[in-house]
Parts: sequence; structure tokens; C-alpha cells
Amino acid sequence: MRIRTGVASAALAGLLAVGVAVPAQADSAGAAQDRSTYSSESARAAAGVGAFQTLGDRVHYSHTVRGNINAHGWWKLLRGPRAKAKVTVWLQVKTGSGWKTLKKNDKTVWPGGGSNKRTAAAWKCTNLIQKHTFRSIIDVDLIGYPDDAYKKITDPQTLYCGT
Amino acid sequence: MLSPTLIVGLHGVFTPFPWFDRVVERDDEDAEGVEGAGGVEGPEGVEGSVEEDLLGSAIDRAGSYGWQTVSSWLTEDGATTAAHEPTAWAHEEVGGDWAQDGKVHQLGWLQAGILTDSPRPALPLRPIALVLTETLTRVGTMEFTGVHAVLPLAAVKRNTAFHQAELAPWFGLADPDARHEVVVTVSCRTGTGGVGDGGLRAGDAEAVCEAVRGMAQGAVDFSVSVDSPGPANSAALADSSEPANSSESESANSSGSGHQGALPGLDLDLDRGVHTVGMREVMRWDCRTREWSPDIAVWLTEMVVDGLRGLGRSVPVAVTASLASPVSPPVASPVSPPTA
Repeated sequence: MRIRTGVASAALAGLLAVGVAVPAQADSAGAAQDRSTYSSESARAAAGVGAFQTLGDRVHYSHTVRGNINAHGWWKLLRGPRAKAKVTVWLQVKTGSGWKTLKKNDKTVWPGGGSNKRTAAAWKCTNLIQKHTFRSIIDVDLIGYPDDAYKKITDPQTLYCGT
Repeated sequence: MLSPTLIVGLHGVFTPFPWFDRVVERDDEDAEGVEGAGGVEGPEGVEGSVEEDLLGSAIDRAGSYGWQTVSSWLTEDGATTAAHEPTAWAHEEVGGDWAQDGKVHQLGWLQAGILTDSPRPALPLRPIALVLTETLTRVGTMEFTGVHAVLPLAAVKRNTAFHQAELAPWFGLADPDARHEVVVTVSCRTGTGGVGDGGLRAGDAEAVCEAVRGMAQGAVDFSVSVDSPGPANSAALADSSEPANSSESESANSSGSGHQGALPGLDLDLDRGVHTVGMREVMRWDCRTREWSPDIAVWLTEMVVDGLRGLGRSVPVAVTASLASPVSPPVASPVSPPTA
């Protein structure tokens, strides 16, 4: 879904700006991201990345699929050139020794949120009797720009969901 | 503590504004590889919808009121400079059904986590209904027929800072000659409603009725319906369980799992909802109001919840407040349906 804003010139300017800065792997959603790739150009790119928000919901039961739990991550561009970002979501369960990843998904999306501009990680509960604590981690890698290594972790949620 | 969930749904007939399709368009590129929630969902994710995408604006609308509902981190010039956690409710999922067939549908719903560690835990029914209403009426006209709310009563204690009776003067400011016939219902899982564990009991409908009358202070007429099944009939209700109704439309007078059919008001398909499966209608009231809006429907719902809470009831319930008579189908749709 897209909302026509009529600000074509701004969008074009953004696309042009991205075109200058984007490295060759920009649209490879499945390719591994290595932050060190950007280190040599970080000073230039950091000035152009502007400001964005990483957003996520806490791990929760699905509204439509009984026995599923979901976590979502998306991003919003607040200032800077229009760009896509690779949004990765880890859905984790707490174990005796720490946190174990049950599901990891990534998707390269435009900013905005909604069903088509976010990454979802879903887990089919093996039962609805066992009580476990879950959390999600969200990482947004702007294509062509460096970012920090700050881990975005949502609040743990205790749910009846077997793993 | 377990993470409790609340759901609010607005029902009615929705007509997109004539400009809808000129402003909102499906982006084929973005539709590829969809994984998410809402709409038709597979084991791993879902097919998104225009309804879900637009109703997601409720998150932003809530944020504009100062109601933080998602976890967010601000990155500026390559560094994370701020982090925020939900303060009002924890947004989980949102969706709706804007089918252009003239029938009553669930136009918008929002599922949210209750913030039990908040300084003042509350069931944010009114603010969620507000942002859903605002989002719907931003892009179309809504013939509102009813609200439903799935409420984990045990998640929060009674609100001692605000009392529903304080809204009686507000709703007293209405056309004294106007009359709207409204039905209010409560459903729950009858098998878990035993005496002594927070479950509903015989006589609750009458007690809640008295409590609501006290709070409403004459702003609405409220009485137990002759059709109210009552917890005493829970065995019969359980026996009336039917397979999930797969019909996508709702009818004020159709048979369904929410009540016994042929009764006025919103007939929730309880078995179709992940969070309401197994629930059955156990109480019903007839109500006469001087206005009809999501605003007063939420008030009726909140008063019934307070009435139940005052009786010490704490089981999860689904409450509806809806017009007794369905809306008339529109003569003709002025615009083409939204791309879905």
C-alpha cells in the first residue's frame, strides 16, 4: 500500500541522493550485512543518513492464527534521503543459560510500517500450556549507510507457548 | 505475570471517500514477499491488506496524543540517541474489513497488550476506540453499528482516579427527543466461570444493571433483557456450541456462535476469534440512549465492566454495545471499493 503524497520532487531528490551513496549490494535483501564494509565511508555517509526510528511490537499472540506468536519490526525515516533498509527481527525465548533464537527473519523495506514495510517473525507454539518468556531483537541496516551496533530489544513477555 | 491482551473492534458499514483510490494505491513491488500479521495469515505470516496498512495509522495517531504504544529507538547521524517503551498500551496487531457489500463488518480492530507495570494500569478501551474511529473516518464514512471489546478483567484493578459516573453529565448533553435502541451483552467461557474464582454468577445481570443505572444517572435507560441467558443457563449455552461460522459478514439477526441467533444487536462470531473461541453470551441488557456513537458505546461498555468489577468478577469477557436494529444498506456505493 502506498499513499500518493504528490511531493514528487522530494521523492526524486531522495532517490538521486540514494543513487549516489548506495554500494553495489544495496538491493540484496538476503545478503549478509557486514558493518565493517561501510567503515571507510562512514564519515561521509553518517552526515547524510539523517534521523530514523527503529520500531517494534512486543512478542504477542497472533490475532488470526491460533497458537502462533508474532514479533514485528519496521522503521521510519525522519530526516534524510529516501532509502530502503534491511530490517532483521529475531524472536527469542529465555532459557536457563540465556536467550535462544526461535526464528530470525529479514526483509529489505521502504520506511513506513504496515504489512508490506516490516519484517515479521512468527513461531508456531508446540502447545499452549507451557509458560515461557519471549522477546524480540530488531536491527535496521540502512542500505548504503553505517549505523551503530545498539541492540534494540523489546520488553520480555510471558506467554503460554511451548517451544 | 502473564502478558494480558485487550481487543477493541468497531463494527458497521464503511464507505471510502470518493478520493480514496486517487490517494491510496496498492504497491505491487512492496506486496512481494509479504510477511506480517492481520488479514489472511499463514503459519509464518500473513497477506497484508489496505485496511491493515491504513489502520496502522492508529499507532501514529496515538503517538500524537502522547500515547506511546510501540517500542522505538531514535537514531540520529549514526548513533542511537533515545529509546522509548509503550506508556499507554503495547500495540500488537490491527486490521479491519471494508468489504463494499452494504453489510455490517468489523471495520477496524486493534489488539494491544496491557501494561501491568504501569503506574496506573488501565484497560485503554476508550483511547483505542478513539484512534480507530479517527483513522476510519479519515478515509471514509462510517455507519457505526457497534463496538466489541475483549477484556482481561483480572489484568488491572478498578480505577479509583476516574469514575464512569463522571461522564454522565457529558452524555446528558444530547438531544432530549432522540432515541436509540441499543443492546449490550457480555460473553465469557462458561466452563471457567465457576463460583468463587472470579466467574459470573446468577443474578449478576441484575446487579450490573443496577450499577450501570447508578453510574448513568438517567443519561441512558438500562434494563435486563428478557433474552438475557444468564450464567444459570451456562449448561444450555455450552450445549448450544456450534462450529465456527466462516461467514465474513455479520448480521444483526443472523444465527451465530455469539448468541442464539434471531436476537437484536451485534452477533459476534466468537468461535472465529482466536481470543474469544469458546466464549458464549451469558448476559444481555436493553438500553435506550439519546445519541449513538462510538463514544457512548464505549461508555456503556466501560460501565458494564465497572459493574462486573464491582461484583468481584475477573474472568476474561467479551462485551458488545450495538444498535438493536441493523443499519439500512446504502442504496448505491458512490465509489469503487478500495483495492484489497
